[in-house]
Amino acid sequence: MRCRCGRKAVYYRRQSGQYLCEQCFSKSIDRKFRATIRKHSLVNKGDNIAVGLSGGKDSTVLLHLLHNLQERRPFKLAAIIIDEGIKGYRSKTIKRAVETCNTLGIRYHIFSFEEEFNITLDEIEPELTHCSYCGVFRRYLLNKKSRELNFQKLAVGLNLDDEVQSILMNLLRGDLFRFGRTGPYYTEKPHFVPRIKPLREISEKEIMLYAVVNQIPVDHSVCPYASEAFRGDIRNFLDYMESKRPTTKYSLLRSYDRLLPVLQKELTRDTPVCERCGEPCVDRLCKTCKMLEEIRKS
Amino acid sequence: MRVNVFLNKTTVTKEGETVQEILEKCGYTIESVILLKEGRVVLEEEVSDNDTIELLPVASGG
Repeated sequence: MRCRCGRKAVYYRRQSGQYLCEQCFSKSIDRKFRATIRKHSLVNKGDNIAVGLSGGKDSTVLLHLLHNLQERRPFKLAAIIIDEGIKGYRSKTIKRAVETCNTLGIRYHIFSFEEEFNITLDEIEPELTHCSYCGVFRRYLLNKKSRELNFQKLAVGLNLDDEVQSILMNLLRGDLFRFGRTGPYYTEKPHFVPRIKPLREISEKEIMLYAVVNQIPVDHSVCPYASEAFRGDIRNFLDYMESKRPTTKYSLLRSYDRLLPVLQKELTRDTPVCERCGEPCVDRLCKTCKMLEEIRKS
Repeated sequence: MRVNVFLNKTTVTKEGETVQEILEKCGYTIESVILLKEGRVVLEEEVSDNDTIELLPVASGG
């Protein structure tokens, strides 16, 4: 099969029926990334942006794309790396993340659960899953450190699959407050560094393919706790549906985006600050402080 | 069709009418893997009988 430019195709985009060669595929991803940025005004000239970098494919590709964008639209870029303390896994991905930063000449900051919370993820004996603690603690640290380091925005590598999984998970859990918070540009006040998601319209498969065809070194490891996640069931369901109906994920995101203004108006609440740590929360204490309290009690 | 599938550092032989059927037998769909033949990304229609293909699962991280 040939791409319309005549070169050998490496990818069949089922949603549009196009066969694409490596070059045309990569250009299409660049265009989609820049279109998302333009559509939601995610990056402006002079911004100071931190990327939450893990060393995996999503955040690494995001860092590369933002780095390329700097040539056209000058803004400051750095990376924040979180070490959750997962033996045999995180040290490899951090090494990869640091190598990426060094290759691109991007400064980085590393923070760990151990230093901040006095416990590693491996040491937690969870009532819930490890993923529940990890997600809450990681988001807390990314926001807190971005604010302390004076970043104006925090870019995260959430892709189309992550977004539609979250939408469906929140709906199935009946968590309507979170359901109203899965947009492209999310901000709450006070103390919340706006979070941007420039990859949210690009599928996980296309991000992986972009890394492979552009020879971007990424870590392919799977977190040892990943199998615990409710997300895995939703992922399998959506992949199955997408293989039967190739626009399922994109249609779900589109529908959600059309509902988003109404959801934000009706379902979001004011966010006060945690009485204990001063970070944004929806209750008297933030989720991180509540979880740390549970851990200390047990 | 009979294909040698390289996944997680091991090779297994799988049979199926289509590549999609073979992927399903390995626990994947065409959405959840990238196909490599001799180290190069290939389309599913380029896979033929007795080929050895590597599956690169797209899901990684947490």
